[in-house]
Amino acid sequence: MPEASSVIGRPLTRCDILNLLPYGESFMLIDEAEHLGHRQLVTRFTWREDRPEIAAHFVRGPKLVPGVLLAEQVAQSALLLAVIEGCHPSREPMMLGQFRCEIMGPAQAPCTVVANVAIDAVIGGKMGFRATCEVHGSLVAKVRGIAAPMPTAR
Amino acid sequence: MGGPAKCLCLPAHDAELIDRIRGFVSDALDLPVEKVGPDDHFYETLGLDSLGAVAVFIDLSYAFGIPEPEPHLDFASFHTARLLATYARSFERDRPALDAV
Repeated sequence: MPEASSVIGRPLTRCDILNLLPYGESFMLIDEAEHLGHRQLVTRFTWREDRPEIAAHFVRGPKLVPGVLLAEQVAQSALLLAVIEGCHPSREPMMLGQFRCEIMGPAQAPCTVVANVAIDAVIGGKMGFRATCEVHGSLVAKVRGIAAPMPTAR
Repeated sequence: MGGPAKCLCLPAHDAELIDRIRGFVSDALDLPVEKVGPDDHFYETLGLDSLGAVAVFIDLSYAFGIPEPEPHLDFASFHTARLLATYARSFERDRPALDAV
């Protein structure tokens, strides 16, 4: 099982990412990732038309990627970046505290969503991040969020 | 993605700096900026929580190039826009005088 330090400087496969993040296969919205250094990461996820979320989003309408799932890709990417940067332990979840997402345009399947994520700051264990999502080079979403470690279970 | 300020670039006048910080706080609280006074206590009067405080410090860093706070920084001691402006100005004083080189 790879540790975060062993994946710096090379593209990450879906297998690497599954080993670093807490998500299960069906909810993992990152196919591949590239750590750019300087607290920046690019991730990609390809939406096929036959994914159940796409088919059910609008049964009779266009095959659009739900905006909340663009946001989820960003949140997962930010967590991956935090793990790679050593700001957060592998496979441990974080909780989104504040999250703002502007949908700038439609992401029509089939398509690959490219998320560019950057950590702004890590303060007292809380992480601020920003991101954009692009499809075919066009901006489809802008995101800003703050995540915090999960509260200790009582 | 627009990037953060690459260098320290604070407004020349304190009033403008305080107004910008009031804007960050109003944004974090989703309140009209008029509701955030220069001397209103972020936590006791306005109800800012720890996530909101992080958002304000990130905005300060992003807009003006203020360094990421040290882990031991006591946020609670910068509990008004005016006090946070003083904190921001402290980095200006710490900056080496380039014209002396």
